[in-house]
Amino acid sequence: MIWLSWRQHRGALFGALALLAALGVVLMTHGVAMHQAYDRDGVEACQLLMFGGVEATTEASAEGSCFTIFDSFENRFASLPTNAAAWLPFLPMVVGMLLGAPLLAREYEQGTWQLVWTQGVTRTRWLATKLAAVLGGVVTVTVLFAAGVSWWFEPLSPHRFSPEKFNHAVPVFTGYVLVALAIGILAGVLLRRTLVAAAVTIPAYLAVRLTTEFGLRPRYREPLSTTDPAEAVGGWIIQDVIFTPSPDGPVLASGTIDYHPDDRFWQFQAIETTILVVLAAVLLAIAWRVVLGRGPRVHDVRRDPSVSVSSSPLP
Amino acid sequence: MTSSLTAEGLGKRYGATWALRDCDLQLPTGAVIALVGPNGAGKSTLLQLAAGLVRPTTGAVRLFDEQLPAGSREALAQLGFVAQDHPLYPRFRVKELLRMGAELNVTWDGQVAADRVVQLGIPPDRRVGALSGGEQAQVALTLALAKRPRLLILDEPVASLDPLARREFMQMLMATVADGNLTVLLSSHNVAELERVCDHLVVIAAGRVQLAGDIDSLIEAHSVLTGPNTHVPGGPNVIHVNRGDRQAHVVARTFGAEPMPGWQPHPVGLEELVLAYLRRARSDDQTSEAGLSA
Repeated sequence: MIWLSWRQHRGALFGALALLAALGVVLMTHGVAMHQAYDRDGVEACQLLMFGGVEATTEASAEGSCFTIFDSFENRFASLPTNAAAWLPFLPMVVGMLLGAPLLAREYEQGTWQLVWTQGVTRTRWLATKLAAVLGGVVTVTVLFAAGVSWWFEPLSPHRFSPEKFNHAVPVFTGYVLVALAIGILAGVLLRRTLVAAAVTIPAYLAVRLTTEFGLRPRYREPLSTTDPAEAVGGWIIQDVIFTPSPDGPVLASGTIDYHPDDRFWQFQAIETTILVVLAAVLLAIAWRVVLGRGPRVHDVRRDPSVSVSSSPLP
Repeated sequence: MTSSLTAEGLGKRYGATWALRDCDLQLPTGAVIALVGPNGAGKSTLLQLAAGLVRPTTGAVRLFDEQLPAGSREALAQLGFVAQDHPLYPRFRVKELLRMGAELNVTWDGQVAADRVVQLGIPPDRRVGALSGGEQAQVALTLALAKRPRLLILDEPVASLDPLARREFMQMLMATVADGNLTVLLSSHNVAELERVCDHLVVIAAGRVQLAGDIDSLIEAHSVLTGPNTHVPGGPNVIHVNRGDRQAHVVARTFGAEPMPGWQPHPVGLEELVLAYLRRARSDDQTSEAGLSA
């Protein structure tokens, strides 16, 4: 049974390994160069200055030279990873379309469900093995991929809550891949057509993604409020205040800064990942029930007293 | 009688439509059983129920004298099933399909399977999608036979094949059945094709079993009666009446008895017999529909 899963999905595995290899090449060239320049030129201090409004603390970050350092670093390195960060949120959807949607829809489409369910293996075991093999492979590859991307994106921003860092941290990225995969699988089971299921996966994934990222994520906890910009430094600013310029520097005009402090990063990762994994599990459970519900409730003969061979009456 | 398949009150409904209903059947072992009926009659549904591929809405199917529930591990292990259009994984090589059979089955005769493929002249390294329809049907049959099943179910095994491939397939099947106590249950909408090879007949139409029994006994029990158009007999034993200008041809259950005076008995052919039951089923169906709409 494991062999069958391997034979059916080895193409997807080779594709995933090719993707990992491509990422590896990017990390070894662009990634290494970017990290070296980041450490060598003291870019982090300048980023903090540029993004965070922190007072210049080191001599290297005296405002004039810092602008040059930051600008040249951005010009040299930022374009590729920034583009990648814009497109990578769609990668889970592609996984759902290419791997999830055909996973069971193709068995229905080609009629091979009738072939494989009439071998000597019960369909419960068939489905469990198939799902375990595919989920196991996907999670393994995704964790490696997200770890690589996270390392690559490290120098992009000093803030962990920045979208490119938060979205591609291992837990959340894996969660989105699992949800997309589960959407594709369930769509395939319900619609029984690979292409239709793949098409349905697009709006379904986008709905989950947009709702979670922009609707839920800022609300996992009550944001902190402050009027002192220094307290919010490094955190995720939900609502900013308005400054007005004055001869003595910017002056707070109105309102408060609402923000999630940086130390909530892993808590937010855990909450979002839990939501995504639970959603994926629910979708897969529905798919499981639909697939197994199409056949008879099979019970093991030896455990079923109603069909026992010796029909001796009870004493 | 030993039983290869027992159905009791078996029914399957898809939405509002009954694909099969009130089906009671007991099929013998060691026979070649033909399941005959028009397209959409419920043949595939009955076979899928027997293989445990779909869950019955009412009743139950059990296999063999042990009365194993259809779809149970024990029943599956002793069942060979080739679905309509013999579905196979098109991207697998032939030898990979055989490997799949070996991996998924407890009883698996790999030697028989490999020999059969060689005998058929099919290259084991060829991808299944590159085989002809006839070769695919043969590979599907090979997979089913290598399980050494007690019951082999074939749903329209030759429907998609050209006449030559049909012939070869049926010959191969009969040669296999000859050396063993295998029960074969195959469906078809082509009666003529089955006449030479089958021992037992089940006629199914409009989701109901119309006729079931040993073919020789059925032929003996029925006759075609030819007589005057003016006095056509009626009753439950009259299956179908074909009125001509002056004469009527009646297919009836006569149980070998002498017919009424003025009527000539003739032996009935299998195809004629099946058609008589199918026509009766169709007119019954129309009558009941007319009754509903009235």
